[in-house]
Amino acid sequence: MEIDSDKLRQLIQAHLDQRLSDEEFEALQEYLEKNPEARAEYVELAQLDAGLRDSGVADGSNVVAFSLGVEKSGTNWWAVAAVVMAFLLPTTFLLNTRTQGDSVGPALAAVNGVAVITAQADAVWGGSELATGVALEPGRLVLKEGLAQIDFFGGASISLSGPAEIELVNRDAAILYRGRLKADVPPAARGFEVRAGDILLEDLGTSFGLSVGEDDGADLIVFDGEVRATGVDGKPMLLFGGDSARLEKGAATPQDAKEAGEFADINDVIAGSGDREDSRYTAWKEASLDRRRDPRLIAYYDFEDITAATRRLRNQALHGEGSELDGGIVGARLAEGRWGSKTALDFRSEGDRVRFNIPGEWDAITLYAWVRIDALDRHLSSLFLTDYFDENEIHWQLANDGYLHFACSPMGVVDIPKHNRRFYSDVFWEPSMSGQWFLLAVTAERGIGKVTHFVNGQAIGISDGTQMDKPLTAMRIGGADLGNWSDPIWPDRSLRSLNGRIDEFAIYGAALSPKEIAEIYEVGRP
Amino acid sequence: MTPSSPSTSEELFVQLFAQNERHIRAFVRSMGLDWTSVDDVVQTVSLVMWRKWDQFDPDTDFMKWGRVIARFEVLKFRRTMARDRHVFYDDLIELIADASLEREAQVSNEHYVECLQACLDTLPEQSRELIRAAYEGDKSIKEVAADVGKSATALYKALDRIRKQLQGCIEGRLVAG
Repeated sequence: MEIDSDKLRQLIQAHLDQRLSDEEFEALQEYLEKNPEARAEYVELAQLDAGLRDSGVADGSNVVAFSLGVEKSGTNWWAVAAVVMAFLLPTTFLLNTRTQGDSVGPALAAVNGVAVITAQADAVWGGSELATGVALEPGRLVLKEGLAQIDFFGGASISLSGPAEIELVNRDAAILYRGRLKADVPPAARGFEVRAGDILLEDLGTSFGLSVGEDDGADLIVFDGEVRATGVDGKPMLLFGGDSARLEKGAATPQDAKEAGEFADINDVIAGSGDREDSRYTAWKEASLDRRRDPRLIAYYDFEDITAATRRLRNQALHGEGSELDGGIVGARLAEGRWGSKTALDFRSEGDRVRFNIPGEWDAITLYAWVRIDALDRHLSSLFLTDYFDENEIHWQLANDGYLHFACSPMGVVDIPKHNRRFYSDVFWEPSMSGQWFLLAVTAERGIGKVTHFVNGQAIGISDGTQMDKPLTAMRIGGADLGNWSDPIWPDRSLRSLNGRIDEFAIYGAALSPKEIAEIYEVGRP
Repeated sequence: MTPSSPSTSEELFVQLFAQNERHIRAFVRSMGLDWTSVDDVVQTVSLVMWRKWDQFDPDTDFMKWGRVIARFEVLKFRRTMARDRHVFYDDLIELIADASLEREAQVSNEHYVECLQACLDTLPEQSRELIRAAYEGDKSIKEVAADVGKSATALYKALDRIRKQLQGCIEGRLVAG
C-alpha cells in the first residue's frame, strides 16, 4: 500500500474511528513503526480525538468546559469515589482477619500461589467451590465439612478436617482459626509455621496435629519429630514425638496426649475421595443413560468403554440418525476421564481428532462437552469446528487468552470481517487451572444476540465479538472435528488442535435452558 | 485553584485523580485503544493507583506517576485483546507512548485544550453540530448518518475535513504561543 501524508492521515483517522480493514491496519502498523513523524502525527490526531471526546462539545451546550478543576467534573468525581469505596471495602475486610464466616476466599492464581489442594473428600467450602489442583493465593479458607489435603509450595502438607478455618499466609506458613489439621513436614520444609491464637508453632521435622476449638484454646500433639511452640512471653518450648500440650492464653502447658483427640491424615482423605468418586461416577452414569432418550438430541457421545483399540465413537442418542452419526477416532488416545472408572480421549498431537459428518440445518443448537484443558497453546484451540467455514456452519473453540469463542456466518468465508458473527465469552480459564475438568456449553438460536456461553453450568458474559448485532439465520454442521480443524481457511493460522481431554459431548437441535445446563453440570461434576 | 484542602488521604487521591483523569484518558487513547478499551483501562489504572497510593510521594508529579502505570496497564490489557480489535503490537505501543510523552513535553495538555476550545468557537454552527453528533457517544456514525440522510462515508469525509481544519487551527495557535 502506498502511503503519502494524506493517506496516512486518513488511515490514522480511520483507526481512531475503528473503521480500518485488517489489511489497512497491518499497513498502518508497519508504517508507524518505521516513521517517527507518522507516530507524531498519530499522537496529534489522537489528542484531538480525546479533546473532542472529553471536551463537553458533546454536552449539547455551546460552552465547552475545559477547566481541569474538580468542580467541573462532578460525575468523574463520583465515579472515582465509587472506585475508591469499592476498593476500601475488601481492604478493610482483609485487615479484619478475625471476621467469622465466609470470607473473600483466596484468589485462584499460580503466579502468587502459595499452596494447592491435592485431594478432598466430601469437602464443602465456604464461598466458592475449590477444585482439586487449584493454586491458592494467600488468604482465608473456610472448610465447612469434609476433608482436604493442601500442599504448601514450601513442601509441607496438611490434612484439614472441617469445620475449619485457615489462613494461608505464605508458602511456609498458615494460621489455624478453628478446626483440626495434621501437618506433615519433610526435611526440605523444616521451619513450616502454624499460628494458633497467640502461639507460634514451628515444625522442626515430620508431623504434628493441631486442634483449635471455639473456646480460643488449642491442643497440640507431636506425632513424630520436633515442634517448637513460642507463646507471648517469647520463650520457646520444645515438644517431641508423643508430647502433647494445651495452648491457651498465649502459653503452652504440657498435657496428656489423649486430650488432643484423633486427627485425620492424608490416607483418610484419599480413601474418602475414592468412595466419593465411585458414587459420583454412578450418579453420572444413571443420568447419562437417561439423557440419551432426549428427543432433542442430534447426537450424544458418552465416551464410555473406550479401549486402546476403539476407533469408533458411538452416538448414543436413541432418537435420530443413530450409528450414522458415530465419530471416527483419529490419533486421540484412551485416557482416564473425570473419575477413575470413566474413559476419555486424550487430544495431544497436531493430528488428533474425532471426525464427524452430521448433515442438517437447525434453528437452534446446543453443544456441551466435558473438557479437561491442559493448555491453550494455540491462538485458538478447537472444541468443535466444522470443516472450512461454509455458510451457516458453526465454530466452537477456545482462545489462548482463556475465553470461549463461538462463530457462525450466513455468508461463510465471503467477506468475513463484515459478516462473521463472533461471540467471545468472558475469560474463565488461566494456566493455573490446567488439568481441571470443565463443563463447557453454548446455546445459539436464530435471531440477534441469542448466543450464550456456559462454564460449569453457569451462563457467563459475552465480553466482545463481531457483528453481534446481526442475526444468525441458521446453523449447520456437516463435516466437522472434535478437537481439531479440517480444511482450514487460513493455512498459516490453521493449527487449532486441542491440548487436553474430552469425556462427554452432546449436540442438541434446540437451545437447552440454563436450568438444564446447570443440572448437567451438577450431576456430572467430578 | 483547589476548592478546599483535602482532609484525608482518600480525598486527596480522589481529587488528584479527578483533576488528571481526562489527561490520563487522552494518554491511553494516544496509544491506539478504542474508547471502550480506554474506559476499561483507565478504570484499572485508577484501581492500581489507589492500591499503590501509599507509595506515592505527594511532592512528585501525580500525572507522571499515572502515565507510568497507564503505559504498563495498556500493555497488559493488549494481551487480553483479540487481534481483530486492531490494537497495535507491544513495541509500537511503546514507541507511540514515547511520542506522546515527547508531545507532552512540548505542549501541555491544558494549553492544548484551551486552544481546542478557541478553535471550536471559530467553527460554523453546522460543523460544530456534526462534531457534537459524532462525539456524543451514544450513537454510531452510521446512525447519525441515517438521521441526517447521508451515507456514513460522506459523514466521515465531512468529519475528516472539519478535524483537519481544527488541527490546523490548533497547531497555528500553539505555534503562536
